[in-house]
Amino acid sequence: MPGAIAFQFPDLFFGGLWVTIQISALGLAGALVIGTAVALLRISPAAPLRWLGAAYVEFFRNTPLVVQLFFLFLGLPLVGLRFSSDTFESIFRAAATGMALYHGAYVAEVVRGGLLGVDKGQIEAARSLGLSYAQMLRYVQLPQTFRAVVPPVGNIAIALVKNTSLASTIGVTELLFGAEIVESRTFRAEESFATATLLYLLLTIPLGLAVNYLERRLLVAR
Amino acid sequence: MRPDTWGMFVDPAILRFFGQGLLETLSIAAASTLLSFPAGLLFALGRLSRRAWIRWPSIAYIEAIRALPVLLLIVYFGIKGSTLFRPLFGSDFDLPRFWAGVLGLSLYTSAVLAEIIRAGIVSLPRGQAEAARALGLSYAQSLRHVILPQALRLMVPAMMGQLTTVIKDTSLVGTIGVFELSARAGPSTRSSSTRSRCCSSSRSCTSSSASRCRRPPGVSRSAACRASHR
Repeated sequence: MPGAIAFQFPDLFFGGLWVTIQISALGLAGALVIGTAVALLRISPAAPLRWLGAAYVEFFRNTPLVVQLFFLFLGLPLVGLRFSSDTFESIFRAAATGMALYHGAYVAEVVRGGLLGVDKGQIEAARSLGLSYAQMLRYVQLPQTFRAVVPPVGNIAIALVKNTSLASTIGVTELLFGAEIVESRTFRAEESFATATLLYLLLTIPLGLAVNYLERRLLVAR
Repeated sequence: MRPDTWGMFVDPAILRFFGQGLLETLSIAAASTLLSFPAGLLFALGRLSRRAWIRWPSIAYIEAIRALPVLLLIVYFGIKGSTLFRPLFGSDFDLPRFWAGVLGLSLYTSAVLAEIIRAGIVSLPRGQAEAARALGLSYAQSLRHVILPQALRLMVPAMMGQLTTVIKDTSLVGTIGVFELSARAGPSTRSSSTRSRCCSSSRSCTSSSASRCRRPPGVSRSAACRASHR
């Protein structure tokens, strides 16, 4: 019976699920901030800022997340940067940072699409009403963008939840690593992985439903 | 940053080591693409089928697999792949780790490709399919000569995006002990002989924990192992 094993090893399954949720939430929050900032760089009037934004997106989208995580976890200490003096804390923070950096690049592309999708007349009207560029972004362009990008950002959030499993490669005891540890103690691979599967579905299915719901609501509202 | 160690990156032996990893990465990506495209096509057609007993299993497969992390599938096949195929290939069958990785990756990619292909087919104007059927083509013929050639062309951008993802995801196969590009660059290369010995002896030594004992600089191996098992 898959699922029953979760109650035999609650600290590994439910504890792991909690770590997964924490990394997801921190990663998503970071990705939204980074993504918006990078998207604004990419549409900025100054060419060097645009190049900077493009370089960020291309670099983080085109290298594997595992490689980035290893870089954060093993590469940064070599140049003297540490997330924390405590190893556990530091791998956890490295994982959350990696999630934010990597998915930030995807969010940036989506937000950039949203920014470019705002009607040009809106921007011109705002500027001719005397709003500065920053005010125009704050009151006109960004609010419309955020509305439009909710469904695609939701899909990125689902991908992010699934990608937290990669944190296990640098030793974060999240859901997948918890399941692997249970497997190595009990040799009940089917049960432990089916349980991990169920717990992942517990996170991703409601997220997917929420995205669908928002997608439909925003479609009607237009 | 220790500039004195950087010389090793022009050492031909090390470059060859990375080169082999690159080849391994490319062959994993190619094998999983080749496996997952026909499977994805089948599931896409299954999902569009009018027969419920074909449609529902296809929907279940696509949605369930897409909701899972790829790493979970890869690790599962890495641990249980051999046992799964023993009824088919005899009791001493040992699934090579390469194929375990390819299998996990293809399973996931086939579900994603199925969705991409379905989107391509659905986005064609209905008139195309209707005209083909009205001209007397069978369902299979209309797919073969009218719908797929147009739909596949529409899908090229999304498909290329997915292929990029496949190449990046091959880095996950390193976690079950295939020495592709990122595993060669990883921390374990310092002790690559111990790691590969450990991994080749049996997967159960493993249960991946042995190969997972990665050590941050300055932490002893046993401490790292204990740490990762907390």
